[in-house]
Amino acid sequence: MTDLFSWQALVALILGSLFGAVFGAIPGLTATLALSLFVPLALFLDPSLVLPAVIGISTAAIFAGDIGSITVKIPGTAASAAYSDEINRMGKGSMGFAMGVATLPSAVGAIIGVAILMAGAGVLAQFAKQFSSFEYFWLAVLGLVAGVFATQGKLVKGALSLGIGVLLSTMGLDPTLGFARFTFGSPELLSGVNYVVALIGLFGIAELLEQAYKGVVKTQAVATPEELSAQRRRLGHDYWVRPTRLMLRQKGAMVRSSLVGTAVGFLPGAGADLAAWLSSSLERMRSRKAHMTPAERSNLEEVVVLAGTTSNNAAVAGAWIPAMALGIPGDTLTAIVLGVFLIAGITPGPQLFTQNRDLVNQIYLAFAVASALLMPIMGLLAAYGAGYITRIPFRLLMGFILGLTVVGAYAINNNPFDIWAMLAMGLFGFLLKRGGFPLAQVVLGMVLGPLLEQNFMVSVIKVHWNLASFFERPVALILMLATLLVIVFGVRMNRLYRQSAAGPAPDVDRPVGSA
Amino acid sequence: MEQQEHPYWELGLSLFLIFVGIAVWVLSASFPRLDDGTPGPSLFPRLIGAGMVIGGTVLVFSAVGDLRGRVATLPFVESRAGLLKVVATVAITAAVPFVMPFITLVGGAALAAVLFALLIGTDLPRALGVGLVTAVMVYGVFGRLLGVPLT
Repeated sequence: MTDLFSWQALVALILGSLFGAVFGAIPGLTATLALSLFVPLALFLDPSLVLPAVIGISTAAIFAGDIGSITVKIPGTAASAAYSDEINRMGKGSMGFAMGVATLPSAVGAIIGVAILMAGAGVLAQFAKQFSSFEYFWLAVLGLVAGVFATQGKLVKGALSLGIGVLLSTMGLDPTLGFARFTFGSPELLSGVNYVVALIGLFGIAELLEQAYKGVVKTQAVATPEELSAQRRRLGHDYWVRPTRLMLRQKGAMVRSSLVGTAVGFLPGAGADLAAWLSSSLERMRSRKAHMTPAERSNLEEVVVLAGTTSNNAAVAGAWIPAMALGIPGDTLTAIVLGVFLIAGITPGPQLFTQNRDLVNQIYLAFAVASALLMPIMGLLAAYGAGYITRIPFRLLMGFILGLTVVGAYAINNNPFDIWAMLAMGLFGFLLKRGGFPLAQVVLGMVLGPLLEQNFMVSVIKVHWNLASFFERPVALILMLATLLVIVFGVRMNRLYRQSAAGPAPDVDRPVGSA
Repeated sequence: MEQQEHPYWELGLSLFLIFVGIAVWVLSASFPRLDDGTPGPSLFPRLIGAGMVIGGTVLVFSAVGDLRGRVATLPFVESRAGLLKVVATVAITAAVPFVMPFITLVGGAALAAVLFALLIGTDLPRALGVGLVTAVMVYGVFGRLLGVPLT
């Protein structure tokens, strides 16, 4: 494996960022879709190129989701939908300022997230070295419970989505006796549903079917070419100076949102969109007044956007903490990253920090470069080219994407069966989306299902079904208590979410995709 | 955050999940037990199957409540044309493995791209362009650069 910081790796990081930015910016294309389309390519690339590309894609796509909100009032990702209306109004005043607030706090949030990732992942990995099957079982339970409560007011659907994922993970040989379950006589299913094929289907094909069903999104620019031209003349000041002043003025909100974002990112199944919704809602609640002057309203909107953009990118780094330290994804993107890790022959978990310390450091560095350097540059480029980005012919892209998903699914095992498996997963994903079921939880269930079952069965066989043993070890007990805490906190948050959803809602456009 | 649910979709999917839950429960009955007679491979599928039946039932009641008083005014599907396009997209993608022996994977992927582009409203010259770009990309990146066997 070559150095992750060779010039080739840097090129991979830049290309990955551009790829992610385009997918994030165009409404209907998502960060998850970008990553799942990249996975088949990752099969054939050197891991030292795959990892920077993945980091570039995930960091850039989430920040670029704001470009659609600013320019055509359609958030590119669900993470941007939390403050879409506010950032769009800012964009009408000054495209450069809106893009600056979308980018610079994102970069700061990501850097804080990376700092916590650097500090937290290693500690967590050390802690995880003491884990036996009992602790891993509770960890999987914790992940599943957090995944349910991450669904914001749709607990039953979230739980069912997780159940579907866990059920899919039971297909193939079982971990106890090696008995073939739900294979229906098909040798292709003996090894279970291929994780990568399922991802391409759930996020690629399901999105294409959704677009075919609803009709492709038509975008309409809010600013005229003349307005854009006038705004470009004062871009330097609007993009760099005004957002920096805002960040300095709102240091508290920045720190709060970074911490909330990283913590939410850490929770399995939550991710950037929940982080953005939570942080921007918190700021709305903090600043709520019965009557506001236009200036106060404008200030509030700036803080809401700042909190949202800071938080969603902090969550991207936060989600990597459990992924690297425990092999448990913090969100859909890291679920795909785990697949990429496996493809690259890297086993996530505590041993990653002892056996592949260099790789871990290089991942941190790639994150830092992507966040501190590439993101502001891309934001500036986006501010210049905002009028053009969303004019990319979407229909043509969709056709191209279908071709790539077909090839991607086939390339994994050179087996046509995988194209049908991808299609089946895609159709199922489409139906789930139509019924309002979250897809991220299906993936989480597929990842956590084997961990849960294997460690439960190992544990019960070890102690001859003495279930009291699950509560006897101190770390297992801590994890169980953490699960209870998540339930209590989750119920409370769910109640608050329902209350706020029932109240007067801000005029926010409905997102067309998920992160 | 998620799609705007349509009660009929929700109802249909919930009933489907109940059916899957029952099917899983029935199929798991034939799975072997461990040597000491305790549950083995059937335990988790059965738990999940039971959960799906319970959760699905809750959602059926919720969807039925949602539909009450709206049945006459609510169309069964929002877009019949959209549904046909979904079926056509599934057919196009499912056909690729069948045409691969004749036109290779590159041809199959390009054909799927062209047909899908036409399906979602692209004109023929542009759709052919999409097919050409797909073929070149697949052949160049996957075939030549990454060495994926494309036949």
